[in-house]
Amino acid sequence: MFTANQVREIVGVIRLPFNALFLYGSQARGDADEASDVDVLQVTPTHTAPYAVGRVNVTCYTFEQLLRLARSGGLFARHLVEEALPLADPQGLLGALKSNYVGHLAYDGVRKEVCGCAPLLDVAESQFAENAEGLSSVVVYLIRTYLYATAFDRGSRSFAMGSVLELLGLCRARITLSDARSQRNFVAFAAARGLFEELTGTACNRIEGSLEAFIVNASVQNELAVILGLRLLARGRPFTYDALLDVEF
Amino acid sequence: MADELAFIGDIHGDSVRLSALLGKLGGRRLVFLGDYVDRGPDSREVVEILLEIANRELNAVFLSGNHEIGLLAFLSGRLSFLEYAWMGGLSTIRSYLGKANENVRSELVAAMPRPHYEFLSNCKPFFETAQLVASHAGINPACPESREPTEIVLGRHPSLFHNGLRLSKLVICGHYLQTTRTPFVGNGVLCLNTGCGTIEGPATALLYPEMIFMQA
Repeated sequence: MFTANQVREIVGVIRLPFNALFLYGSQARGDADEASDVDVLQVTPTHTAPYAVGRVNVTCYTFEQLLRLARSGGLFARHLVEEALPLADPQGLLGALKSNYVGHLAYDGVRKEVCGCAPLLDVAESQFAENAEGLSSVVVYLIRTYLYATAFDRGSRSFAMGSVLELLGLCRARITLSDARSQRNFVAFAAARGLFEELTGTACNRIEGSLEAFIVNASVQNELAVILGLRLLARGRPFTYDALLDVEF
Repeated sequence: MADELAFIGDIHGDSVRLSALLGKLGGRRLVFLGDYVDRGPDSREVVEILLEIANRELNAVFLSGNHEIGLLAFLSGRLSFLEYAWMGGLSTIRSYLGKANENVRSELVAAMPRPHYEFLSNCKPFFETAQLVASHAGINPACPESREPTEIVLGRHPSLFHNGLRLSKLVICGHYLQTTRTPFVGNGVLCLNTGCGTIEGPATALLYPEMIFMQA
């Protein structure tokens, strides 16, 4: 459990406004180590871009978006329902999410979405340095999501990656994931990309001539590809509707 | 008949609901409150329908929403792909391009019919009579005389929805999503954004002066 000081440290980086704050991930489960990030879900009144301050990663969703995820049994909703801890929840939104959560029978759709993200990883070594952090995060996120979905379909109920890798007989992947996350160089990224291709059976080739064009085409049916693609384009910069107000008309 | 108006809230690319709603409005003068494009599946078809109305009914009024401004800003390069996508512009781009290949902005510029571009460019910031003012984002209660587009098209004025507001004219707006899918009726303020094209809500019209809502 977090100390009051730790809660203050997290809440201190949060950009207002928020309706609720939840801790999830390894810190919430209690299996974090020194290198672990702090994953926070911020429930916002309007659509807001994700951001990170130091080791605190803040993902933003409106409550309506979360309800949709819960009602469709999404993986992220399951993540929250099973392990989220409220840091601030004056309206009892976590309880409302839990009561709206509909469990999934199978995660084929999640794996299909992950495979559809493969073109996001089609990057040459010469371009990698332009967005090393973003690409490293995305390849790790995609592999982890694929593994969670596969493990859940085999009866796992754990979001602890160590248990998932053990269940799937993929303990060798632990180092690949860890290197990609911590080293953030092309060698570690390429190794993780190779692991992604091996696990999913999907080649990381993009037929469109730009990431933007891929995002447009993917937006027909792959929301995950859109979200991750836009994050790659943002390169860590916050992007909001407010940009529109800076335009002179 | 000239005084019989129908104000129509946000459409957001839902041509099916727009067509169904128009079928219920008879021969009134139409005042559209903006946000015709983005988010919903068929922005191109929506603009096509509106253009047909503009050519047929010369007294129809088409107001700008922040999404029309956003689309124009993207086309001109004043808004980035990222910013426009974040606004919900991907579906609009797709509705015009079908499939993107490389330079999305230049492909969209080339694919957008000139009349569509002119229609979007010619939308007005507000519509006003002695009794009412209609604009996409309403007015700023702290500065009710302002008709600056940054206030009445692009602004956000949540205080419009507060109790005890005293305004000299009826304010009719869209923009502020009513998650109940029913129009907001406040003290001198009406909001017609009931989630059409966004949360699968209906398209909503207000018949004026009868003050009757129609939805489809």
